[in-house]
Amino acid sequence: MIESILSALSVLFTPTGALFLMLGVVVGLVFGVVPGIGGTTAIALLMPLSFGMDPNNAMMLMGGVMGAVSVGGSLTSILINTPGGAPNAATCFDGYPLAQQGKAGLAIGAAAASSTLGGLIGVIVLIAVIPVMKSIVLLFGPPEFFMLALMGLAAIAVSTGGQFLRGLIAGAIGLLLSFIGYNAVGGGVRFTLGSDYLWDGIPLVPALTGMFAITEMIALSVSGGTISKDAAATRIAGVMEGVWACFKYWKTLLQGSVIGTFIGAIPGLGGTVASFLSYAAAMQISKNPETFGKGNVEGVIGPEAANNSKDGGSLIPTLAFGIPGSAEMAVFLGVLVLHGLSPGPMLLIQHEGVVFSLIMALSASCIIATVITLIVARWMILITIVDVHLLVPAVIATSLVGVYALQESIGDVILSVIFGVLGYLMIRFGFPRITLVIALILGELAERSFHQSLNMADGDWTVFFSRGISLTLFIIMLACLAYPAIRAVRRNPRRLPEVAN
Amino acid sequence: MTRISRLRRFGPSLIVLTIGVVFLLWAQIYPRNTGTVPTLVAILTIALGLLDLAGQSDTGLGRTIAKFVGRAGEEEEPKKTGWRPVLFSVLWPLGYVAATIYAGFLLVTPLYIFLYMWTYGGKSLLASAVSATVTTVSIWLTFEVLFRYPLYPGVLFGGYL
Repeated sequence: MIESILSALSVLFTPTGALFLMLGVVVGLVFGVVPGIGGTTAIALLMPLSFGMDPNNAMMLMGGVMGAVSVGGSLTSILINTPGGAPNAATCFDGYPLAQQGKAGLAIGAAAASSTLGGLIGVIVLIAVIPVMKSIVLLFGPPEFFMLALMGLAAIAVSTGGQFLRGLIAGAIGLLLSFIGYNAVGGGVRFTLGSDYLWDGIPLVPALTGMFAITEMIALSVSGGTISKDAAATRIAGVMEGVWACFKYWKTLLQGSVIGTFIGAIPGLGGTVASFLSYAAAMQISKNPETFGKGNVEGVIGPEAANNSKDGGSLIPTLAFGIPGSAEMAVFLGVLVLHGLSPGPMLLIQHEGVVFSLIMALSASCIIATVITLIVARWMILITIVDVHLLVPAVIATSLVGVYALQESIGDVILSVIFGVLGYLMIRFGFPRITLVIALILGELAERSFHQSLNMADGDWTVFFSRGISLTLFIIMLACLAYPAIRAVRRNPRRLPEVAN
Repeated sequence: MTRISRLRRFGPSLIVLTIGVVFLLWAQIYPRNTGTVPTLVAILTIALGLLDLAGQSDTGLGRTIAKFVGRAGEEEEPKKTGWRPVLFSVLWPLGYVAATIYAGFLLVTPLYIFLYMWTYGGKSLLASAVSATVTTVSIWLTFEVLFRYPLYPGVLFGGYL
């Protein structure tokens, strides 16, 4: 193994290896920043270019892209509330409020540093866990996933503070929307109103772009002024504070990284679920959960750490078992095959050097992308003090073109605007958007796991409560749901009888 | 309480209830495996909607519900504005998409940016024209030239819905 690591390092430091790595990082940052286009598209576009390359150099190129995409996506999430990709959407919840408060530098610094550290933790876990990962993943069956999805929703609803009930309502509506389209469990399509476009369900990227980018642009267009509510107080130089915040909130960072690695390793879940669950988990361990969604830097650190560490995690099933953990990994499998590398247990034995080239490239890419981000951050922050009427039409046009480019479907553009208007109405009438979005993401997982659990137990509902991990998650969910009531009682126990009367 | 303020207060809860009822009835036409979870979630939506409706009232029950689970307030407290800026701000992106469906991104994008900035944003003719041109050229260079994604041409020029 040491020999392979040294061999990978030697490739990294050759001029060709470094060049391909830098190319991958730059492409990854650009694809990350442009809304709607993510790592999957970047790898797919670069795949033909890598044909004929030495496999080690190809791994440098791909590793560069993988590590940099999520870092690039966090910039637009923080500055203009427009996630570069779906996994960056969770960063909007606290990153953008920080930018509005003139603390974009703090948010960008925290996002960049947590991305690097999360990515490195993911890689370390990847190296350490490959031999035992299979048995850990197998501990989580359908009942655990069902409870995990419900617990995530309950935790997020609690984070909405005084809007707990409307948070739950938004979550329920998000679940109903997630049921639209083809149902893999029962077969057939549901709730599509006869539209072929909706057969695959509500596409996530257009919905998220609408819910965050378009909604925010409508809100800015109404209010006028600048993104930063106090332009004079906008901190150009808060970037290093953000970097230090990652060390201050090391538990959030570590927790996000572990969640990202673990979720990334589970085929079918991917970075979006990882970053949203990490956000919920960060809120649970925070001393100030009520400040989440209003500009808490922990709400940036958790999702960004998870977002980058998931790359290491998702490589585990891809390389070790030949099972892609996400769409990005599915395309990456194609790259491996293109270079004559068969994914599976034999890959690690026969081509250990190539695997470690990829791991080294992924690690280096996280660091380089972060350094570039930290350098350009002080200029990018200026976007928050530009008149919104200059920004609004340009951001709307670019976002919608990005949404169209994803599948070349004008239906995606229409859906994005519909979600944009829906998001604005939700703001006006006090419904938190965050729970709807999370329910939309977790709905499919929840329903699939629910049916699988019941099938597994011959229809016996106690399957959700008779397994250790599942029961623990259920108890945490109940605690989340009871938290607002307990808080109300603890705040003012004497007045409750008066209020009730 | 005026009719408008009553509508603003209770309207959202009634819309939630309507969504719940529609999905509940709709879910019944599907087979058991397909309709079970949507039915459960629709019932939950209706229950939460009723709780929200009760929580909006100024009765003892309403105040108790508000105490325990919160009462609606604006998520991010946008400025209290009249209906005109809201309507226009919503209509601009809707109009942009509607026009794009017919004439495509490359033709409509510069027009949209120019008109928005000049008429609604109160910017100068020159600033609006420069911004419209720079943004459109950037979009064209990034998507069509660099990434080789053909931009939607609009139904008038061979695009399809």
